[in-house]
Amino acid sequence: MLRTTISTKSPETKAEMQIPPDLLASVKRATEILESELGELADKCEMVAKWHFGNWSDSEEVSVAHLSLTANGHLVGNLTFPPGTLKNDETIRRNLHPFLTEVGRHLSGLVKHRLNVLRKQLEEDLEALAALAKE
Amino acid sequence: MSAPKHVKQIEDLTKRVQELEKIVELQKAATELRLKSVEDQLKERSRVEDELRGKVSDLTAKNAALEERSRHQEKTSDRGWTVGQAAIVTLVAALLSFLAQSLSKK
Repeated sequence: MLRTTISTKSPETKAEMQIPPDLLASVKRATEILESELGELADKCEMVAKWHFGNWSDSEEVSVAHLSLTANGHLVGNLTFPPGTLKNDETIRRNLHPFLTEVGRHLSGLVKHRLNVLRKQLEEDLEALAALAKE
Repeated sequence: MSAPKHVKQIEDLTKRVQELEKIVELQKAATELRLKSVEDQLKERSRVEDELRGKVSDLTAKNAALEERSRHQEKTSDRGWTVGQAAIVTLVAALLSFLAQSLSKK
């Protein structure tokens, strides 16, 4: 299952930000879409989606949502939704797809690393077993 | 002495194999995610391409209609100019003839 946190505090000043209700609702919808797009991956490893808000470029009037996704404690991707990209399901998906491709690539890298570690451990175990058999 | 050691080794190996199974499952899910998102992006691109192709086709048809209209207007304009020229020549000829007649009377 995907664990989600939505923070309305500014990451820099830690002050509470005034987030438009429609933007908050869109973020919740984007979380549902993200979970459905991740599919069984969200069950196979511990995934956490952290949302926070910021200003778009230098404009203090336009708030945008930022997403950080971690898998088993490793950061696998950051994504910013520029203004207008949380408008509806289609625009949310369009923005999520390239990000998810990157997430998949990143996870494959993590899996490759874990496989290498495991291969070394297995080799050591097999060597120990062979030594035991000789005794 | 070696029997408990064997048991421990077998337990360790079993754990490793279980971990391996988990990793393979994770890799499978990660690959599926990548494939699905690439597939979705391709679908989106294909939809945009179709949309653009439709627009190009519409614009080509409009362009052809405009060219045809332009050709027609050119022809009409040429014919108008020819008729105008003939009218001027006729008018000048009539004027000259009138002047010639007036001079001969004098």
